[in-house]
Amino acid sequence: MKREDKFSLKEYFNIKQPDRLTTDNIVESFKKADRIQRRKLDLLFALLIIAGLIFLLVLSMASVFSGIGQIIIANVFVVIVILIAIGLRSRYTEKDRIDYSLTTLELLKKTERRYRFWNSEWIFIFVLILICNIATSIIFSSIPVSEVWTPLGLVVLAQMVYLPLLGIAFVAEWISWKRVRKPLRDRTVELIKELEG
Amino acid sequence: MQSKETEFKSILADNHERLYRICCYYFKDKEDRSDLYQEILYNIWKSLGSFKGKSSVNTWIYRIALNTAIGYAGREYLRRKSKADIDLNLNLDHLLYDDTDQKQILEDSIGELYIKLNQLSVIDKTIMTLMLEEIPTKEIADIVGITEPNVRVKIHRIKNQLKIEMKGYSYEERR
Repeated sequence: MKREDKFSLKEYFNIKQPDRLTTDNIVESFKKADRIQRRKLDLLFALLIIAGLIFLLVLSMASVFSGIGQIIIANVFVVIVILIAIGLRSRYTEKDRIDYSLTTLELLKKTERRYRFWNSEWIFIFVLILICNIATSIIFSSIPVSEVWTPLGLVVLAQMVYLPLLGIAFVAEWISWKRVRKPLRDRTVELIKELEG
Repeated sequence: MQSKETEFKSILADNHERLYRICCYYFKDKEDRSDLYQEILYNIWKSLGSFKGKSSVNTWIYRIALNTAIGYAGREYLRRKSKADIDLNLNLDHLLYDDTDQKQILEDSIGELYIKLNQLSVIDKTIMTLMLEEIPTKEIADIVGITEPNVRVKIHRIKNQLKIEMKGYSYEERR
């Protein structure tokens, strides 16, 4: 058979893009998707700020009973919490920007790291919770005490609220990881092995 | 300096056929093709700022397209747990041998292509896609991120795998 008679798959699939996908409406829909994505991030950020302000308000109310030193320290902690929340927001934004122009192997390795249970996000969340805990404990420990509730008792009470919440959050995260991200991570690991093998 | 929109339109004008072909290699279903095509375009749109000229535009486009396809196929894999209802008795040897009237056979049995492609792992399918696009092994290595000898080994293995699967079902015998 002559070379020019040969039929390739490339030719077979040389199809024009679907008519309904004109360049103009594609660009418009992408711009819209960008706007929606930005709005989602703004909403998330607004919620974090509101949560931080509520926390600040609650601590300020509790700190009526405390000394000026404790108020300052507690508020510094709250500001740190808000700064970490802002940091989380920028990390979230970056996370959303998966770089598809990396080589397949690089992209898979990054994906595998992102889907690990113990990833760097835990450090952020752990530090966030720890700082909230310290700030609350400082305020609680400085509230004038009755005979029943000593400062130490109040700190213990705060821990009794924090630790179960932390436990619930941990279990919820683990279940979510196991159901959603673990299968994706396992699949990604398989692909990396296959590609490198 | 070109605006993002102009740059995107120019890339799309130059590459829409090859991008749609990639979708065709991955999916038979029109809806899936269309969804994947749009997802690839959106990822190109989002990645426009990241092109630094370290690789050729072609390599950059292929990387985005194939990485998106792998992600999309992975999600579909988990969703459908693979369409495992594969009939191994079908024939695709004409894809590997040149001495047949390829055009006619290919048109007659294009469905078989998908069956064979779907039997490949997603990585092999990626390499096969690039082979079908007639991309040199050096560029395949650059797109996928493995060494050129590794690419050659994989191509050799894929071809052998397909040949073995088709053993006993050759086109000539069927005729």
